Amino acid sequence: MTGTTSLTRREILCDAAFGVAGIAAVDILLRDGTLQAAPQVNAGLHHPPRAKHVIHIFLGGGLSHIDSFDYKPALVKYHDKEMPESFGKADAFMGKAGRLHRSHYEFKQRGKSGLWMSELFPHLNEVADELTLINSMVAETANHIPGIFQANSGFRQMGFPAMGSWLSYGLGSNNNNLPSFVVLPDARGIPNAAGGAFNWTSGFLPAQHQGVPFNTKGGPPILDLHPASGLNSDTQRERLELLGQLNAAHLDGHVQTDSLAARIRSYELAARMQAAIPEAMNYNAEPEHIQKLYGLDRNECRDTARNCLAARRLIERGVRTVQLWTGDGVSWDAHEDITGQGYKSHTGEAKRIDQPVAGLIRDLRQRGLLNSTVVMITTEFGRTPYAQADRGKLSKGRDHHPEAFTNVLVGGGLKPGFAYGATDEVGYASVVNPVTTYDLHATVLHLLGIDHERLTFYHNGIQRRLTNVHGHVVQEVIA
Amino acid sequence: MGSRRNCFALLGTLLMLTSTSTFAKGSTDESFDRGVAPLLARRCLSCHNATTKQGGLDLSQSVGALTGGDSGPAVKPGNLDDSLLWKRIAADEMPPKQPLPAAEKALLRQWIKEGAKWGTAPVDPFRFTTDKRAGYDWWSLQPIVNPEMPHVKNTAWPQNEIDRFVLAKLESAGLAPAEPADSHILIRRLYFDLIGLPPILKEVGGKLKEELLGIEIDVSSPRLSESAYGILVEKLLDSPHYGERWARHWLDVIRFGESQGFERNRIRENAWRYRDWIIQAFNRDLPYDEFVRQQIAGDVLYPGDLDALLATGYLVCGTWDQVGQNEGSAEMRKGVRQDELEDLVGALGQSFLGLTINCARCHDHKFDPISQREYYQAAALLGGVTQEEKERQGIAARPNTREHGEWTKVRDQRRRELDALERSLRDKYGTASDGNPIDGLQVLYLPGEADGKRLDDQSGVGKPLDLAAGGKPPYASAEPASKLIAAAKAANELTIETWLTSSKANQSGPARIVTLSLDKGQRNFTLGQDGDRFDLRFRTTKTDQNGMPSLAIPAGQAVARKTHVVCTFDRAGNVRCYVDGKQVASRRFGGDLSNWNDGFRLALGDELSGDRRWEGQLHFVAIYSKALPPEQIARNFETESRDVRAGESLDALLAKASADERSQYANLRSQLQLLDQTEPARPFDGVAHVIIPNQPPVYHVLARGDYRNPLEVVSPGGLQALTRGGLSADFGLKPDAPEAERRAALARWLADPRNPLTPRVLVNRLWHHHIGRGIVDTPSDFGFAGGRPTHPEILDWLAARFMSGGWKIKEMHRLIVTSATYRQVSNIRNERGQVMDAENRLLWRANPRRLDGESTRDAMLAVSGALNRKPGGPSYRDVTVKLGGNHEFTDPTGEFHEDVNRRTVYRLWARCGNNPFLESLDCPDPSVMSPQRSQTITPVQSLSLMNNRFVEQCAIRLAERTRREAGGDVESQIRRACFAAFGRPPQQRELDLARGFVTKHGLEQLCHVLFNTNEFLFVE
Repeated sequence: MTGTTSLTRREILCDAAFGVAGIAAVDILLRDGTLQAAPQVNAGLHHPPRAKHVIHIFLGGGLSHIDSFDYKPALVKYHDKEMPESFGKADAFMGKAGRLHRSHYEFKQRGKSGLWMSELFPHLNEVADELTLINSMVAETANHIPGIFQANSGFRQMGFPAMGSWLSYGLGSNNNNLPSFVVLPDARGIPNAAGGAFNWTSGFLPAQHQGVPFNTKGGPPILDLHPASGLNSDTQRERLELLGQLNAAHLDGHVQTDSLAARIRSYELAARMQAAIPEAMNYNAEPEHIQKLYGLDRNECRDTARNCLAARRLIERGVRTVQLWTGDGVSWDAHEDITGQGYKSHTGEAKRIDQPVAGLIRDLRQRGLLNSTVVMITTEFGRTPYAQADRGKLSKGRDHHPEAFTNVLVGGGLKPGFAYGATDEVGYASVVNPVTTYDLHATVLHLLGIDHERLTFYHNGIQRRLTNVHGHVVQEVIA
Repeated sequence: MGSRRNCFALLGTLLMLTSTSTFAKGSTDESFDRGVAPLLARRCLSCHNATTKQGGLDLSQSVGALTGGDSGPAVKPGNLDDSLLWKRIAADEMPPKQPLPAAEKALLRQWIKEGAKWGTAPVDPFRFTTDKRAGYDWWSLQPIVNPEMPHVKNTAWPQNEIDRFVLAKLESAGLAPAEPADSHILIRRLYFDLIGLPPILKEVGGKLKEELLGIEIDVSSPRLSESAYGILVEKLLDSPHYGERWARHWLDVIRFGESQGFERNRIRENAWRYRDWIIQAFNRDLPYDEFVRQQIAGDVLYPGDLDALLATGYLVCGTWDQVGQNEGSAEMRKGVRQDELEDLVGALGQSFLGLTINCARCHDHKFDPISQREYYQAAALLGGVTQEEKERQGIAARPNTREHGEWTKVRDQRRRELDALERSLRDKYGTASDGNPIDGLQVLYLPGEADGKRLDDQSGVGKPLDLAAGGKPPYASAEPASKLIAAAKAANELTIETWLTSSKANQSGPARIVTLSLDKGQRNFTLGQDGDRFDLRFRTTKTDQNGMPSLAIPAGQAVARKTHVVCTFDRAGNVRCYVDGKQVASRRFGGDLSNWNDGFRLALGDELSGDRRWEGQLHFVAIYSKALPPEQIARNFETESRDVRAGESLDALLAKASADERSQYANLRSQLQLLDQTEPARPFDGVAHVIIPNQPPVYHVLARGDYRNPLEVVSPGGLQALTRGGLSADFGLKPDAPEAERRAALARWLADPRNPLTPRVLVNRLWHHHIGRGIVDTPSDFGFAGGRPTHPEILDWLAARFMSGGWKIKEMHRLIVTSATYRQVSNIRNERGQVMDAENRLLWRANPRRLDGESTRDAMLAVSGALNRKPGGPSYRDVTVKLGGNHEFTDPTGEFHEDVNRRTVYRLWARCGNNPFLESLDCPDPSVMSPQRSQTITPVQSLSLMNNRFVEQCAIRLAERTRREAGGDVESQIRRACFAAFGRPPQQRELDLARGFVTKHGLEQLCHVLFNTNEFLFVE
């Protein structure tokens, strides 16, 4: 390498904490020996992007497609009957399969686009014309944890990098003072029932791409943001000054300074993070009408409203991916009663997210951010069209169902007010244009300017990808 | 960066990387074998082979090509126009979607025109390495050959053979090696490399004493003498800390975790015995072939040998999906079992052989000569293994109970003496002052010290909740206990701790001891006595407003002596009761504290309505908004809860004590420390997390890896790729061979001296950790997708020497660390090196490294004097393990005391068992194999180092220690602290900077800064 190049290279390695070194673009340039300047983080990695940010709202536990986004009028006819074998074998994950059950909620066509949506999400119905429904999702497992891992990392096993980590690795961040992948757990707690931190791990990617879970229960937004002992700011500042002086003296005597200088820099960034994170998370700075738009004034959805508003503030400030969790990670797992109000019911869970998510979509739209943001509302699998068996009674619960479910995409580069793919007459199997998790990931990466087959990282013998060896971009949903 | 992608361009020729073969010119046969055959193999055979035969066509042999498939003959020798194969290829119809490049077309065209002469039939796609994949001729699969010593010009430099190989490469690149590093840098490097701890140096009378090994180090000259260096190496290799350091590296490689992962994530209570086995194996320098054999089949090869059985923890230390394997539908279980086998085969191949055999589950390996069939042969070898959560019970124990009993007696005696001394110091010199109470403390009462009118809340936390004394309840708050109730609701946890002496055993009601309630029917909680048993009523969203049903605590505990009674409620809804430090009852009440009444008052000794009086003496009552962990409760019992409340630190008391008392105290402490570090093996309870083998079913090749598509039956067996040195891949086992024979055969095959990978992979791992990067920079992948060796001769020379020397790992360490290569300085200007080899692949200097997470934590503890060097035994827990619904998860506790201040290798390494401090320093979750650690530098890491409580605590301890040893003079203190952190005296400028800072902010803050410096966190 020539002197000039290595100088540039050094500068870039010094910016390791920027999330620039260790991202795919730099890795590739370093490998080619062609690195001349810091790559443009917004140019997309492989082609011009349609969006720059992702907000992923994950409904863990299994959202019933039949009761939300997949209109199956034939189920009225089949209600309380055994499922005809022509549709497939009624297998159950837990216990035995019961008889078919019509949707628990009334469906209507919504908006100008006329998308069929149930009354489960009244506020989302109001923004139907923004939504892109994928009605033909299929999953590979009926087991929550492997399913949730796959929905987030592409793999059923634990320890693979999450999509947000891949995006961080592929594209870096637009704001050096904030993590590029932020996770906002439900105020009810870390989603431990869904495998917790495995869902935002950077796996074998460098640790800077790890999702950083923010504390959404009140108190400092991240761990160790301020000294545990509550030091006064003078001491803090002078401590940093002394550290800077000692490190500078040490650096002076050294020839190979890349990582030494990077550490010095990372303290400066850390100091800026101390201010930037609380500022970004301060939703009280929002005017009242915006707070109301998200439902911050309503008890039943205040927690999610805060997280949705925080998500907007974070991406506005350059965070690449924000992931929102609902409940403990499996709170949509309505085996007993879809229509109940409490934990593991749909009616109760929907109230917590409906207005905040709709408010988020409206707010992004009015700020022009929806053009550059993909909002994903996804689940790991659907629920059976037949009820959970209950000693002969027709129960109000439904079991896990990987053969068919619906995921919703909104925003940057997508066809709005559009439904893609279809299930059979009873919603048992995705029969028209089935879409896998790999396809969904490939599509989102494509919207962000990434070819999913070319965003790779070597680990234990394989150039690993988010999409393993599968996945096709669903061109039909792209505007 | 965790990636192996580095600039090879400039180095390619220098390093003479073993690389792809070229199409050699030679006989027709050979030109077919090297040219056409690989082309067919790569482009055609995945569909048109003897098994798949798509379109009826098999192109793997001459007869198939000539006969052709459904559409007729594929190849007419000498006749292009009639050769269907050529026509389809020329028209770009085949291979589908990926037409052949012109050069390959030309090769095929030529071959058919010249008569389509066939070579070795049938085509073995694995025979030769191509530019796309490795064949049987791949470098790492070849037998180990002791290489010839190269000629070097500078004969003065080499210390041993390693150096000659390194120097030869350097000289041919026109580079010179760097000079040796100064002694203080070299000693620090050696310590971290061999034992994972820094030297703890102290100046005593002009000499340097190192505390960990208890040796003197002579630094009169900047370079250590050869003999002094050699002695130091031996001392470090003999240290019990050596095994702790190197076991951690191995545990990384094999993804050792102490919980099952996935949804349930149950803790494996006895997995630590395998961890201890690994540490011991390193410490006693167990020959590596034996190390391999015992981990695979210790139970089979040495029946009845406990030690060999414990080694099989290797087989069951990975993840296990309990829901998928035990709770899902039958179909699902079969699929999940195949996933588990892939994980097992993956760990086996990568840890011992550096081969990703697991990549051949669904199809032949894409890069390495491993067939799908061989994957299933390997799966069949491990078919008796499951990582299920059963623990092996009733294992024969070693009779060591007496020794341990004696030890316990002595230790308890010393503890009592220390306790008595501490108490007398506190009585003599103590005054009330501030300090840090136990986390979560809300109220604290000492009724024995009450003045009759009022009982003060001595917690020092928040607004004091004082109790009026002498009324109907003997003590009661006038106001609602707001601070307590609010804190408990926010935390959703609670602990009630009391010391009491009950007057009689026949009280009833229950008689109220501590109550937070309205009257006899409504409460948040009440601790009471009913007959001679304690009773706890506790309100949650799952119990009634009277807190019923109550916790049943065994009878016979409430007797007339001073008793320690503690009740806890944790976030998972568990209520527990401890008497005299031991848990006596627990039940899951469920629910939370959100429905606690904010208006209830706190009372002691009676119900607030005054009709449930308790007879007895209350000495101590503390309530916490936290479920104290069992260790803390046991400690409080031992120390009579003296450390609960704010008070002067023991150090402050000692400062006022007489010299005699101080030395008495120091003496007792060190005796106890020594005792802790020499605890004999605990009586073995017969339970371990080791293999419980099952006879496996007959295995089939599964099309696309799917259990629903079985193809032919396979026998357990090895890899064809490793047969070149005469090692057979056929183990002579039938498809239904007994389980024990399978693992025994596998163990012997792995450790056979004709197996070239086992020793190569291991010596490369050692090199990786010493030099900072492996000779192969992908330590668990010696295949085509992995790195190429920079110094293949060193790899083979070390591997040959390793085996001829009896597979002794310590001998390999000696060779590496005494080489001149290892001892080079890292900080050196070498323009030519910088230009030609910026990545230092040729080793013209040493590689500086950031400390890994464990070394950072251990070093901070060691330097501050807070490290508890106790070896082995159950893992310490810096987390509370909670049961939520049906899964276990962990919450970091942030504790800092002797029990948790052990070396990080002894941490409970639960999956998802996060310790954010270690995570930020790249400690991986034990779910995936991590043969090499990342060394990232991030702002989150800096925040953690700056602000985490652990670093603060270490800084406080270092400051205390420094003051104790250096006295009151600031300059001496700085000098002492600098020696502790860096192993060198401060320079004048550093002294000047630090002096002002210490005067203004205190020594603790300086120590904190030292822990954050680059000099502390890097090894040069």
